[in-house]
Amino acid sequence: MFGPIESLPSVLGAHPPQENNATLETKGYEVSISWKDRIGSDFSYNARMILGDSKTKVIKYSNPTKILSNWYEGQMVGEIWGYETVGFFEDDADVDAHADQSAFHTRWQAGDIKYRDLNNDGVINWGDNTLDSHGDLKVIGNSMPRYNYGLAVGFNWKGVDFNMHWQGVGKKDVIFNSNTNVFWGFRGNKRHNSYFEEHMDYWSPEGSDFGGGPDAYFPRPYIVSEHQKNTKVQSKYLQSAAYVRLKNLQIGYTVPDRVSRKVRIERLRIYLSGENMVTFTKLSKNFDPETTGGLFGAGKIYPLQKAISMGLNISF
Amino acid sequence: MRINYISISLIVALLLVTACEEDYLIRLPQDQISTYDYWNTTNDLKTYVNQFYPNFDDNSEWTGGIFWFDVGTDNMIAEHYDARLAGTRVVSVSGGWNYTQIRSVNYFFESYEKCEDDFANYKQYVGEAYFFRAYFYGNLLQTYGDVPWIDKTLLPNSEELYAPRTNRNEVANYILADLDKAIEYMDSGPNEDGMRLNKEIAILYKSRIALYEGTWEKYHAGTDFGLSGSDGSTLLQEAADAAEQLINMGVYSIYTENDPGWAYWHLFNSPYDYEGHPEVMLWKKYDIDLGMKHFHQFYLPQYGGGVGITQSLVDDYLCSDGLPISLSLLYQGDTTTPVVAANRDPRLKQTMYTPGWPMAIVDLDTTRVFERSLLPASGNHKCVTGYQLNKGALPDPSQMEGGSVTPSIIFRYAEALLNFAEAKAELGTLTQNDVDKSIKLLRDRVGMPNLDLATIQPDPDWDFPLLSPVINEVRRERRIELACEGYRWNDIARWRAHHLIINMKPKGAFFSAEEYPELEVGVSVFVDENGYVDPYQASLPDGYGFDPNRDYLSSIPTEQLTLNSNLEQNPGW
Repeated sequence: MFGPIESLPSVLGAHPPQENNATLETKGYEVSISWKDRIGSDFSYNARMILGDSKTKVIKYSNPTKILSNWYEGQMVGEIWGYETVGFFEDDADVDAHADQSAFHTRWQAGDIKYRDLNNDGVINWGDNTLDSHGDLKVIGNSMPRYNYGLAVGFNWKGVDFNMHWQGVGKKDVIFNSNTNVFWGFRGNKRHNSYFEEHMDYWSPEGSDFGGGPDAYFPRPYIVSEHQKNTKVQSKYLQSAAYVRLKNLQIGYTVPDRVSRKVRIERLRIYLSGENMVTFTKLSKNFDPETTGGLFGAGKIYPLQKAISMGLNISF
Repeated sequence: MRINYISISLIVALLLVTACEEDYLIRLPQDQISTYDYWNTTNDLKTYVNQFYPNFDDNSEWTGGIFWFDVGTDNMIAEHYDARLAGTRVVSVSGGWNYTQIRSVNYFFESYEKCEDDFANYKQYVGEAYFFRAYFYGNLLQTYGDVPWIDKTLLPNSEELYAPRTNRNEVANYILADLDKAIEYMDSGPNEDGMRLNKEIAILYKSRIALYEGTWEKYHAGTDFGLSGSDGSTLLQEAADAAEQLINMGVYSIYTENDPGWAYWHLFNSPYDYEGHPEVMLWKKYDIDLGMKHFHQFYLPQYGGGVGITQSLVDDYLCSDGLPISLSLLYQGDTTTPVVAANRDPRLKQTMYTPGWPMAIVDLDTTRVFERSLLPASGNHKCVTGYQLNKGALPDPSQMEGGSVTPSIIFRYAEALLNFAEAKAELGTLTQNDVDKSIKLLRDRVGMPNLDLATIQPDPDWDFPLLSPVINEVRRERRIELACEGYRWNDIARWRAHHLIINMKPKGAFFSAEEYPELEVGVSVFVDENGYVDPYQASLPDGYGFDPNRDYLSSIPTEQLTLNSNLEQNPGW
């Protein structure tokens, strides 16, 4: 199948065309259970549940250096390589006692991110950024959606019909790069920053009326490129895009024939329908778990709408 | 059965014959230009090289254009300190190290001979291709030093993908050889009103590269960046020869006006275009109707742009008697902007705003003049240092909002004069006669006395006290004439002039509380112990941390080192 273009030294000066260069192996299952029944003559109900899960592995792909910026053999598709976060530096002594993080920036101070020295070499870095030498990087998550499920339940009782459809993903990790101002508030440049309420929860020695403090969620903020040192791909800011959502809910009432036929109507049904009514997710509330992308950066996308509609079906 | 065998073999033979018809299998796209039906005419070649012109630096829309290119040097600063000067850059992972354009030029060299026209008709474009390859490698050389020299289009399985870096002196020689070809093939004189390359531009660029590499070899000798066994004199001679050749050709000259008080300023804020201009050798035209516009004039004649000129640059301007401020009796001090600009080289007033200077002119009436710098403003309106840039500003309000079309200078002749004088000064062969045909012309334009080699008085504030008086004065002239046009970083790098950077904090104007009553020292403006605006007092308390063993070159992206184990990282990274 078509994999990504092979990583080649950029003295090539071009992107070679895509080619049939990869073999993937996907393993998974799908379960679907449905049930329909009737209790008495007035009440019928149905339920349908589906659950599917799969994992995809790269079986064959040419990446002789096994550089992590591209596929490599044995990789699980969607792997996220990142650093493990220890926490915030408390003070200069804490910085001095910790491994050298100067590969990311020259200045480290209280409120900056402390990364875990996984290979215990006293230096935080990415090694050669290859599978054999990945420094302090490790797989911290996977961006492929796992455990996709859906549940549809409905019943009819006399003229009343009710249907709802739940949908969700059981596990999916997402990481927002340092340029994603909708997630971080800042993006390492004086332009195009955007502060939402939750961005006030950033590190500061004593916090403010709006939140934040030594135990804040976000690190010490920078409006300049120094921002990038604290916003590396890392475990603390790995977000879960798992969710469950009520995609659709519909309640209808069909007027009995004997009534509607009096006005020469074969069938008359009124209904109330709602889309995207409720969503449960742990994802940052500036994002929608189904649409985390965006043309101008993650989160900058027309959102899914909650829509409520009323309708009337008339057949003559 | 026998008949069957015969007929089957006939059918097979027929199939094979058909399959061997190569033309049958080649299907050219109907809605695209493919390489099979290109490269036929001179115009094909011209159109192909046109793609390289946007690579010239004209900066993006929402900036002050080329006049902000010195930001991040000791000439100009921005609100936040420059990472290279501060020594806070980190090794890059990917990006940069770009050979895309070089491949495109190499593709030209492998294809242009298919052209059916006479070589004489299209040699201009072959020359342009040589120029562009030299230009692209010139940029790589100045960023990375040694780079692999690739002069053909590579394939994914080419061995050259894994080539080591070519030594910088070899790269420089290849560049100069390409430029010699460009000089040989391109036509002389303004080409398409100065919007296409010509022979003279290639000669100028040759002098630039030779001077760059010659001074680099001379001043980096004995360091990790140096080249053992060379003092740069061969290249310096090449630089001097090329520049002198250009001078002697007489195709270009220094732009002058009857009133020397404005000529320099008018050179940079041409409201129309540079068609037929004596000094501008290559320029970029804008046209609002074609959507070709920028917003340089939104900033320059109105706002500080979040940048500012440093005290260091201002102090380097001579007084109008030709003496430095440390020696001249005409120097009035620097308590306010009008005072600091009084009795100085007129280029100072034409580079930075002084009170009363017109900022908006409508129908020959000045409707707005400069009063004081926008030091108290914030963001893109602020003038960071208190010395506000004036060079390039056009006082035409119609250009300030909605887009401006002031043309962008890419090469100008004054550089040739300065390259000539500097190369000769470095070689120790600069004569008064040489000065008279180079620096004197720049001084005459603005009404400054000539540089008299016999009477140079030692300036206690020379930037390069260990170097000869002549080199100091020639470098001063270069800094003043080309100020804020993007030459300064390369000059500092090739001169190995880190003593102007390390531990330094760039300073702005002397802070006058009378001039800026709304500013509170230590709160809304930072001021040093001598009373000068000190923009980085809080953000960079110890000054620039530039590392001379590392920061002269950029790091090679580590991704490239991984993909090609024959590459070695630059020193210090």
